[in-house]
Amino acid sequence: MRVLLMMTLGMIACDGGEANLEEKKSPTAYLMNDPIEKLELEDENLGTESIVPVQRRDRRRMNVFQLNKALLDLTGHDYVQLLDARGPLGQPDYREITREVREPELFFQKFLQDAAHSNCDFLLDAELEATLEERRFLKHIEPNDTAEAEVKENLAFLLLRYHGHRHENDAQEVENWYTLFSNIQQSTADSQTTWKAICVALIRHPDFYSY
Amino acid sequence: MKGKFTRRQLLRHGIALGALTSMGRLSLPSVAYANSGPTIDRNFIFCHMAGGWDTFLGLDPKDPDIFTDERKYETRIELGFHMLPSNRRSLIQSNVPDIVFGPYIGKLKDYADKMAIIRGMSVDSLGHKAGAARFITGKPPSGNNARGSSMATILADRYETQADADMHRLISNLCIRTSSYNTDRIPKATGTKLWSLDDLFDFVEGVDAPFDSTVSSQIDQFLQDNVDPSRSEFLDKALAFKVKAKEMTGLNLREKFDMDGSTAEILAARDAFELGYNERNTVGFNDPNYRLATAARAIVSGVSRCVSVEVIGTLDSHFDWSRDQGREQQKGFDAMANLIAYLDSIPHSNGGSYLDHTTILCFSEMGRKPMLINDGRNHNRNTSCFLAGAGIAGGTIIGASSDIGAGCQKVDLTTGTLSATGDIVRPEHIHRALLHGIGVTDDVADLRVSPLTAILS
Repeated sequence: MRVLLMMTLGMIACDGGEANLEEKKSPTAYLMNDPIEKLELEDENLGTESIVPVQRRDRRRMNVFQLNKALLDLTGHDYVQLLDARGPLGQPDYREITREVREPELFFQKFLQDAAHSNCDFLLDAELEATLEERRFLKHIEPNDTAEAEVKENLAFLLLRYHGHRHENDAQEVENWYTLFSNIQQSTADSQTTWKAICVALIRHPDFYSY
Repeated sequence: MKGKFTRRQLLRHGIALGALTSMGRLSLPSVAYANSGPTIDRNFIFCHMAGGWDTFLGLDPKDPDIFTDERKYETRIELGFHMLPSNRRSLIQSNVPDIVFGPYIGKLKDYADKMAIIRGMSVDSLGHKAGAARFITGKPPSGNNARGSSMATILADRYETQADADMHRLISNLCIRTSSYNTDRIPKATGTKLWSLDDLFDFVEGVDAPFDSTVSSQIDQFLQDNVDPSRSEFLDKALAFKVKAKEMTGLNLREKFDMDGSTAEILAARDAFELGYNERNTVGFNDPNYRLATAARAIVSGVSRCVSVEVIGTLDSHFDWSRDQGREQQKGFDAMANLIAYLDSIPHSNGGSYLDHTTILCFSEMGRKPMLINDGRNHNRNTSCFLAGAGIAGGTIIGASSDIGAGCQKVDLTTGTLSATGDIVRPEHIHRALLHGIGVTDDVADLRVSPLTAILS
């Protein structure tokens, strides 16, 4: 009887080996269904000791409370409609809704855009009246100044403040945002409106609301 | 002792079995339903008349000539009709010969041929929240808390998880002043709650941008070019939903719902639901007709698949029963009649009217006791409800309350007739039948009962 049991367990162990090995590659994969965000590896580093296996998870967006707090900190205004719609925006109340949703779904995108439109409008209007020390957005430039160096310096500051990415003023990322600034400035001929548009784009960018 | 397991042996075997199952060799088959997707494209409106209705006055009357005040201690039924206004002491004949209603059925009497009426059923609860949770989910609640998802959520989930995009809706599960539960279904099936029409506009209309559309397009293009969707599924979804959100806000859905509008569709709805002009800010969602008009518009405009509505919330008449209970019931029933008539008047693109493609369930979270306490009735687990519309056997009575104490009685679930070997009808039997009616014959909602197929046509 004991021999039979040992043989059975042995067969099970051998048969399941391949699957077990696969699972070991991704020790946290069973915790989430979403695919892991793809890593970009430099070819020259492959096969060297400099590669440290890092397990990465896919992005999650902020919940409505985090988003509202972030908007308050950045723009000086919260957006209470986010809280009013918190159920359909994925916030569980553990009475009627028990699952938290952190996907960038339809209504989240819609309310995010609304919040960006509303708060950026308030913010940039207030910036015009404020002194440099009081400003939250135009910290390295005067509202009507469109000189490239100052614009890029302010954009680099904003990318750090809104997206948490530190860039030199001449980095490609800053250059991309400067191109957007220039294009809008060209079509509106109004730097205040242009900065409002930059503010909206910063908030609607996934690097702002996801982590 | 031979042949019996000791506690130690049981534990040891339990661990061994656990080890085997964890390796996947003896594990239970994962839940996979052979028949879990709807095969019929159908809409649903769940109408809650809150407070607990007195079924004698509406859906489940008793003959006042038989159940007299003198016999009340014998029958344990006290109709109290002598306390009602003199023109409200008779039963009302419906448009179906065998179906009679209580004195406050109102305009609904003309739609009995489209209704399946369930009498003598139970919600197994004497509390408002627990009864509502039971009816909405079909599962016994844990205290006042629902244990499971709403039937509307489950139906929305079934349709939204189909590959066919025609099955999907913008707001698949819309809830007008009512609770909705999602404990185990996809996020999109979660109920979107409205307290006013402005709430709905908040969802479907965008806030104006502080710049013109050219700038908006430049921003959209920039985000599209500077976010690499191949980096993760999240970013891919983010970009796709960003585009959809823009499309949605461009649809001008206010026009479909604003009862103060002047389109032909809105004028027809205002007429059907007897709404005056400019009532949105005065009457609005305080009026059962306004709420049901919004529910109907959500279905007819293709915005929603399932709509749950609290039609009225004023039926809890522990006092002033003779003044309030019937009057408030009739407000709700009249509005329900308007809903049926309106849906029946709108042609559906697949033939027939919207009523032929929409199932309506109207319920209260419980009934009221058959004996009066002064001018009031306490809560009772025995109640009634009705269904109408798509897939429902119109002109049907299912079950009956008993002639002593108006209690619940067992019913044959397939014929709807009283049967000593049948079951007492509960909300879960109805929910299973709703799923059955759209081709979902497996118990995807984990209701663990058989469907009440007697209500199905």
